[in-house]
Amino acid sequence: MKKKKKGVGQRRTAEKAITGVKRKIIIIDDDPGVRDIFEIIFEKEGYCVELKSDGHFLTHESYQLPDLFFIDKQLSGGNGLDLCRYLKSQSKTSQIPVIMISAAPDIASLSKEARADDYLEKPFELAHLLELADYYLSKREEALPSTNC
Amino acid sequence: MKVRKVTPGKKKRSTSRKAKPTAANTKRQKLSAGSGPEDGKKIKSFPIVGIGGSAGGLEAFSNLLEHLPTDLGMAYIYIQHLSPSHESFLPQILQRKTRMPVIRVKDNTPLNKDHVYVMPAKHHITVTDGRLKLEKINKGDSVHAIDQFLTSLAPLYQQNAIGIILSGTGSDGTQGLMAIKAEGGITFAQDSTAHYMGMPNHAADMGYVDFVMPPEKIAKELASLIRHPYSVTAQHDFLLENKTGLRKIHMLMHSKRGVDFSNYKQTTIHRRIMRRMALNKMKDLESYLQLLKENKQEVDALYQDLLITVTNFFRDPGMYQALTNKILPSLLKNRKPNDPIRIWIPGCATGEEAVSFAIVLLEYLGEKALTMQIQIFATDLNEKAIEKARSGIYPKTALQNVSPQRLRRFFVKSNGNYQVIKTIRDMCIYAPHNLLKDPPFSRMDVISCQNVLIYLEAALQNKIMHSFHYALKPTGYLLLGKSETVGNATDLFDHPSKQHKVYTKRLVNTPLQLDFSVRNYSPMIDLPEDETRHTITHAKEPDLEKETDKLLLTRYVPASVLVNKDLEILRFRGATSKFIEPASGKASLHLLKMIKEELAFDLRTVIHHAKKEGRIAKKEGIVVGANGGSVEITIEVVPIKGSGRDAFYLIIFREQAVIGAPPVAKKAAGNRASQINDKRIASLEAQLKEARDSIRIITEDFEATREELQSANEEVLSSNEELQSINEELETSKEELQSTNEELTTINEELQLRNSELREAGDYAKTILESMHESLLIMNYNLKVKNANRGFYQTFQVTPEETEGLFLYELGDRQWDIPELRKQLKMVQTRGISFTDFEVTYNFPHIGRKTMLLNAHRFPLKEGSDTMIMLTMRDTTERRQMIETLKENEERFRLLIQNASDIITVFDRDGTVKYESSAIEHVLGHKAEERVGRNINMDPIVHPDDLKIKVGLLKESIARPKENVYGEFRLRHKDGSYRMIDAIFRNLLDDKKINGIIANYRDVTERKTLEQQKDEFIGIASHELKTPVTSIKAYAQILESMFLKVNDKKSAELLGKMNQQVDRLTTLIVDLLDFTRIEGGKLKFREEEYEMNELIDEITEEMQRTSVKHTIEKKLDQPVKIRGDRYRTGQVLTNLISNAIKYSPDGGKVIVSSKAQDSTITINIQDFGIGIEQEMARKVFDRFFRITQPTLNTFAGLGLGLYIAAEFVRRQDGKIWVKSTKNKGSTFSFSLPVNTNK
Repeated sequence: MKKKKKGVGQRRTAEKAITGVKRKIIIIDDDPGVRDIFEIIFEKEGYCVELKSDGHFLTHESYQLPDLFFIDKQLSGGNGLDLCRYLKSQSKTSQIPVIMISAAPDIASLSKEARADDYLEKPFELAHLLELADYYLSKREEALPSTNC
Repeated sequence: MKVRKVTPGKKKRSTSRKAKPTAANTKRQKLSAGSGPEDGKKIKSFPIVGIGGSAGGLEAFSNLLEHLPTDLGMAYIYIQHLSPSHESFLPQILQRKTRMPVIRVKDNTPLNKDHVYVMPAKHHITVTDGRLKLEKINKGDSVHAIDQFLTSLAPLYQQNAIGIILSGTGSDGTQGLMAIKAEGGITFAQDSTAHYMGMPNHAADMGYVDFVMPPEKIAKELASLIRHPYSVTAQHDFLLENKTGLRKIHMLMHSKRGVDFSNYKQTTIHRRIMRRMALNKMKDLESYLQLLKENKQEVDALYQDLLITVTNFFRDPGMYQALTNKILPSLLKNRKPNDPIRIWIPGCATGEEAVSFAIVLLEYLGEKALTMQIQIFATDLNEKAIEKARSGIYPKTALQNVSPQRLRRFFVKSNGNYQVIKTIRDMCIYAPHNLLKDPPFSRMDVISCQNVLIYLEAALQNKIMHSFHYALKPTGYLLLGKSETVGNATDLFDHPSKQHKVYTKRLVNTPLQLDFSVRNYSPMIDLPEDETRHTITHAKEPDLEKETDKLLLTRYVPASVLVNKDLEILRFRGATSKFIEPASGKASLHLLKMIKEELAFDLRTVIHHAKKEGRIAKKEGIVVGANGGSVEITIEVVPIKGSGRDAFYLIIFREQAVIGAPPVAKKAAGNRASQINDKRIASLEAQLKEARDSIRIITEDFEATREELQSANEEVLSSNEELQSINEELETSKEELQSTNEELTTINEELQLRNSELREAGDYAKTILESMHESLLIMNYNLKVKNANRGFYQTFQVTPEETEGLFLYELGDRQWDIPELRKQLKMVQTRGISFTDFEVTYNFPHIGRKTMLLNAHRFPLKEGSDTMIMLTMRDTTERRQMIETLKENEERFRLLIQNASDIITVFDRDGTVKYESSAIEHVLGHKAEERVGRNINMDPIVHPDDLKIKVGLLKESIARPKENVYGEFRLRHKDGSYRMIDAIFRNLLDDKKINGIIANYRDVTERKTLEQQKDEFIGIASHELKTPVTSIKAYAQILESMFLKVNDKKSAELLGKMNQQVDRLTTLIVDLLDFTRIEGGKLKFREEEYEMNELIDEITEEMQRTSVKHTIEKKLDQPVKIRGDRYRTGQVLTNLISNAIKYSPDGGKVIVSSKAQDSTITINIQDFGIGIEQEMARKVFDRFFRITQPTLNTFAGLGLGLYIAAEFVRRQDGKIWVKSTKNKGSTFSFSLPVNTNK
């Protein structure tokens, strides 16, 4: 059921990037359980994780731009797809990959419409999650200067 | 040469029946024309058949027609005695019997071949100039229509005339056949097949019929006659080519019958011989001659044919006028009383002319006739004819020209015929006589020779003229037929009256040619010797003898008187005064009164003897003392046979010797002796005187008694006469009755035919009435039921017994007593005003409630007691109910449509609203009336963005008749809000009842809202359910990896199992949600174009990861791009492959293959696992189906997987199926349309 496996190679461990700075991932999800899991997994992998329960901060707070966004489609305060569109419409964020997370079966097409780079259907395999993150972060390695967590 | 020349117009034929003169004329014309085979007379070019019938004739004629070939080239005229008061349908009736046209004769109807002509009633029909003439019958005219026609036909058509007499009573037709036969035509009469034998028998008995046979045979005979090479129609006198043969026939006739026909007009003779030949079917003269030699009967027949004569009473009225006006007055002038009027009629045939003469004479003479002696010598060659003439009996038909007065006066009825009275018969002396052979009569006052000369050649005519001249007294008259003249003999006769053929004798000596001998034929032919021959040779001597006798007679005739049987003196011969003297008292010619007294006694005795013994009686030696001397007288009485039974007696008186004064011898005798003698003589004389006296007294007494007896006899005779006249009257009435009867029979026949037609028509009508479903009542004027048809009895379940004869209102417990019906029927009864479709609904006792349409007519429509009223009833109960049901249904549907929540619109082809249901008011707040007439392109309530959709639906619907076209658009409510409308368009333009495009609008706004809410709910539920599962799964995996890190394998394994359960939970959640969507119809498909092989690669790779025991093999067709929902198709593949893995628990291969063919792609997933039983295989795609085999208990689930997969395939217009063998494995397949061109 998952797609776009093409080009996703073997998972690279976070240690590989230890030499450099930590990659930063922002996760926007209103479910604390999911946020917790993302934190555990990505921190374990050595990424810098910032957890948000909604997209309010994007417009109202100044924040450090991440290397990758995970946005849940179904947010209690709004629509994750709208956030994605917003990010893709802003010049400073348009180049940052966005992966939509959703339990909706039609997330594939919805996320494409919202110009998200990829999507992840709930529930997911951890391995798959890591592969995706790894893939998009590795693409960004050359593109952006590393940032500190 | 037209017939007009043949029969000059001045000759009126219709008034008197002058058949013969016309025939003579035509013959004369024929002779002058050279008697060639083509001597004109075009109208005779085909034969005319005259058919006469009366009672029973119709059937016979029908029979004849049916057997008659239609191409004989003859014309048929049917003469039927018809009632004057009854219109005849003969032509219609007869037309059914033949293909020849049957024509009712009108005046001047031309005759055509192979046509049948039928005479109309009340007319006589005759033929002239090839046309039929009609003459109205007046009352009292002769009813002999058949005779009338046939006698007009005969002279014109001669041998081309054919006469047929069929069934009928009376004697009509006999004269007609006679005329036809006389002219050489052929005659037929029906045999015993005739219902009424009167007419045919009469004709046959009179000898005028050639063939007596049934009608069918007549038809055949006609056909064979006409086809005979020398048939009656032959114009050519072929006999001329065979002179020897003819000569032989002449000789034969001469030898057998003593008549030489060789000097007769040969054309006539030949024609008659040819006729005989045709009748005998002889094709040449030789064979006919042979027949004549062998068959005596044929000789007789030919002889009769050759001699056939036609004559009539008062045939030439002009001549009789001349007789009374001129000839008789001059003859009677200065005539002595005992000078008899002597008339000779040679060629008298059957005596009509002689009788006519006698009648005229008697009428003319009146009282004088009693004293005037009239002798009419009527002679003819034909002995048969003479015999007939002698009998003086004629059929009524022959007496047409005899006025009723004459008929009464001169004829006596006997056996249905008429006999000439005795007075006339006494006047006429008939004798066979050959004009050419036998010596003529002499001292004639009148010779009437009518139509004899025309048959003879000129030489013979001349010879006869000499005979006539000789026979006539110097004051005598010769009367000839209209077309005859004295020819060369103008030196012998004067012709004082140009008007009539009346000639007077010139007082010149007759150059007597007493050559009445028979010419001898050279004996070149050996004729059979017979007695006739002897008579011929003997014939010479009596002639000389006669002459001698005559001479002697005048010189030496003894005194004699001729008396009749009543002893009235008829003739005196010689000197009778010695014996006879007139008696004193009333003048009498009675012999016994005139005879001298002395002779009376002896004479009486002698006559008595002669009478008694019938032979000559003689009494000699009657001594009469006369003039002082005695004379001895011999009386001889010779009986002479007269005509008929009457006897005549010739009484001859002879003086034997004169006994002078007392003889000398007396003196010589002794005195004494003489005294004694004297005494004795005296006493003897006294005795004698006494005796004589006594005898005289006795005689006188006897005479007195005799006279008394005579007077008594006369009285008896007169009573007898009276009785006879009564009888006559009765006969006349009988005849009238007979003719009425005939007419009645004819009418009856026709009526019977009409009857059967009527019966057919009746049956026809009855059958129609009976088979008619409608009920029908026929009532009389007073509404009493006469009849009802089966329909009535069935409908109202009644029997004829309880219906017929009852009043309408009494029927079935007065159930018909309906006031309105009464009123209507009253109008029908009184004014004849019919009513139609008068509706009545009524509860009938047996059959329940019925609605009926009643119709009543009165017929016949004129006033009258036998007027009928016909009442028909149509049971419309069912129709009525149907109409009501229909109405109800219509109302129901109308209400349904009006009250339906859906709006129904009917567009015409260009999109104009023809109708919109009132539901629009509920739904959109607009009035339906505002909507009608608006065009779809300018509909103000359509959402501007959706107008295209709506117009598009209409166009698509027009393009696809009778299909539903679905679509959605928004319409504005009157309150301004838009409502979502789900529309179905259906093109019913071709449907005559609708003739439009029907659109059904359903307001789905609410439903849409609800659906959206449901979608949202499902989305939320999906999210809310999956999110915790996601967390659980992730935690478990994290934990697992953490346990692995610390090498706590057991814990890691538990967590792995937990992870699997979470996966199952996830699948269940996904399935449930999908199912909910499918059931709610909310499964959304997102079409996109994708490559099928790519998708299969992706899914198999993923599925391979879930099992190490299984190997998924791919056998894929070339890459195919298809259009559809990639995600859902992926779900199907995942489902099928996971099933294949699941149901082959022992591992092994799973083969995924694809096949692109035409515009579909088929994917098969094959496993080699446990398989499914065949009957299960069909159910695997059902909802909640679970394979319930015990071995499969381990594979629990909701049973929705395959159902959902199947739905996904079906929703994409694909198919899904399975083939499976138990324990061998299953192959699940699905196919999808490629759809890329869409």
